[in-house]
Amino acid sequence: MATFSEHPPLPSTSWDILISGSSVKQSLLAVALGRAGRSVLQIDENTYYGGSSTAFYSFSDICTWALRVNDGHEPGFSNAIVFQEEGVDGKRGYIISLSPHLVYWHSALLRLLRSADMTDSFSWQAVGSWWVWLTDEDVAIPAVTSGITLGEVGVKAAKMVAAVTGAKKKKKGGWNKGRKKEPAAEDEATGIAAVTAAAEEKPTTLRRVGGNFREVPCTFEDVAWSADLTDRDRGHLGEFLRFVMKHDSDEPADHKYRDIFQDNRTKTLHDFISKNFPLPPSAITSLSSLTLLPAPSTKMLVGAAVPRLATHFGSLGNIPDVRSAAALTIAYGGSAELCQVFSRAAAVAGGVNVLGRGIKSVQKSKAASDVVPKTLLEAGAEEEVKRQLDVELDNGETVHVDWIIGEDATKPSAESPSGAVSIARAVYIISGPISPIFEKKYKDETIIPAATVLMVPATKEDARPVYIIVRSAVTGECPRGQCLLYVLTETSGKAGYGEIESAVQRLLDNQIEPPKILFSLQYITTSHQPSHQDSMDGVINLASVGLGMVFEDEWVEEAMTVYEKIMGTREGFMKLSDAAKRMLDEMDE
Amino acid sequence: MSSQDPTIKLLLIGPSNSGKTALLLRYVDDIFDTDNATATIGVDFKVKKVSVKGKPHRLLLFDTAGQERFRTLTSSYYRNAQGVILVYDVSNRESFLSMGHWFGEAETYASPGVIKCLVGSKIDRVGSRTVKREEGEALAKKYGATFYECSSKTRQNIREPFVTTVDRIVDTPQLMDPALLGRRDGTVALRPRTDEEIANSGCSC
Repeated sequence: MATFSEHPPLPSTSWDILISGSSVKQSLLAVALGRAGRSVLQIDENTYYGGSSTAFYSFSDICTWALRVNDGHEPGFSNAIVFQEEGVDGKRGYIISLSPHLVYWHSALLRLLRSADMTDSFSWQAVGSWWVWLTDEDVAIPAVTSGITLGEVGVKAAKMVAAVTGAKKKKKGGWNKGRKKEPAAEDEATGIAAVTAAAEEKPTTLRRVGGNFREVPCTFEDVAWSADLTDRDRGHLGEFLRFVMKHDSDEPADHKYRDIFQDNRTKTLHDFISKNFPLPPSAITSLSSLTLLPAPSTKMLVGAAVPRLATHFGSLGNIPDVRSAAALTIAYGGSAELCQVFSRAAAVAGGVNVLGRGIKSVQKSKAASDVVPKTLLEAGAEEEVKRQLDVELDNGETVHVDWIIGEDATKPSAESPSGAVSIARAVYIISGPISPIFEKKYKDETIIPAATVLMVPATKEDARPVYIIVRSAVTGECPRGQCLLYVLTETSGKAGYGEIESAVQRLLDNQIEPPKILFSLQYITTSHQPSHQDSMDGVINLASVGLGMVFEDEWVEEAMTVYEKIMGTREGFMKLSDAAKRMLDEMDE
Repeated sequence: MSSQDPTIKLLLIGPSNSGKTALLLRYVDDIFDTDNATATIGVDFKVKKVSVKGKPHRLLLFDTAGQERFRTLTSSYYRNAQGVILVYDVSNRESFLSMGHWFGEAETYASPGVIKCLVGSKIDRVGSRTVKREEGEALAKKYGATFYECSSKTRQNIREPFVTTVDRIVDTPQLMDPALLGRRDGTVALRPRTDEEIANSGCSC
């Protein structure tokens, strides 16, 4: 953005806190510490905000970044490949984000923004349904017959098999037949309590898109009426959901759920559900997509999956005017927008942001360890605060600070050391909408989702599912009529690109008028076990933000931990000063 | 935000020390404080109730929070703004020469069709003027902006840039389209919760 290379000198050489980088956590801390009255200098060696969470505003910005990635200048990123359809103008009108995160209704971020009076600083949009690619054959496989867990199942499951075999007959003819024409006639479901309530409304609203992408049943109506579930499945699903919601409950009556969770943390989600709540494999796969974890259900662990499912189902039904949604996303680039808004908020709180500037060296301040002569103190040299650290910036300026907060930018070695996880990612801009994922699910909703999640399950042994997050033009991130696809899959190398391409092709080919790919960017992200050592007193290294699709609660937690280390308390984290609050109230009268 | 009146978002941009904050404070609060010429720390924007053709409107005025000094204004600053007021100092030629950059920023990051107004400030500094009125007019014309010269010190022409810009916005139906104001079809209203709700929410997840 900046075309001027000459900058004025910094307004001060003495700061309470130097924050290096403007990624999510640094930006959070810049606001929090600034609002707490600390003097904050936030620098970023990049000439743009957001670091590894940034967004690009033109295709040429992306090409520049891709070249830097391939030259090894962007730690954690590699193998960038850009495709641009001839004649497509990408000069403006696009926001391509490296961090299009989903924000659950029940999330630390939303709680924090509410308490910080900052929800109004963003345009929030709803994430609609999840969709999973399941063929008719996939959904025809009943519970427990998959064979994977047969060895473990006991008497109870054996009974189930008998029951399910009976149910299978009833299901013959395909789960989806005739649903569109006469949904009401579909399944005379009785069974779990929720059904009665739902029966008064329209029966199943489960939809299909792009051939076999099937909507994941998650609302009560869906669970009650899903045609690929037998009544017995419904019962087990209800039981499983009850377990999910109570797995961390402190109520004495719920201890059994907690114990089940603790006892099974290291089991895979697939084995655990098959054994305890025997559901068809297709239903387990559907459920696993809601975790947004990169592993398939046969590899993801209960300890990781169940808390995420609890967040999902706990969030569901709370978002105003769109009860079928569980998550939100921030328009104009997701967390990239968040970083920008926070950096401005830090400036509003009195901080200074400087881009294109990094740290050259850090030294323990000599002055700090010296005993300050009494005479000097008495002379009233108050503004001459002794700082702990001397920092030389890469333009030669020196600043004196008490704290440095930076990101652990230890470069993972290219050879994928143990502990390193690689994710193949891609962004596609396509020429048309994808129907019906951007339609309202229920008539009584007034909000149209701006994003949805699709998953293509892993079919081969050792394969990983591919997730596609589709964002519509309503996000302000592409021109009207176009869509953005954010695609990712865990991989050990570039092989993931093939998986991504075939998943995207599957989605596009099955549209009545297949949209064209106008632009794409593929790249690999690698995260590593953070060394996470604070090298010197006063120097704090944040763990780099992970690779996931969700704005993680732990990022907020880590920022609060750092804040507590500096401030001695968590009290007041991100809170506006009383004076500022009063002024806002006065203006609103 | 309790008010139901239509809201208009205006931004101030321009180089450091060009008089943006002084202009804003004089217009909104009728303050001219030479000692404390920095924006109010902690407050994102100022609100002013204005009447346009007899109809009340809520004017939100955003200042740069000092981010212009290191040219680190965020592109998100420009989101959903209907009007941009670009301010230079008539006694500082360099500030005038940088206005091409600021017009470029506005065109790149603000909504297409955003109303622009160029303001030459500090005309009370008669002796040290280095930018002619005609130069300002010509630049404004080039970028389709209205043009005023003003003085926050003497109050001369303080209201005009704002009043004209607001009038032009209200006269441009596409700018008053809710979709442009961040109230897009898909936007979820996250009402700040009541204390009771916060108390009840505990640590629910």
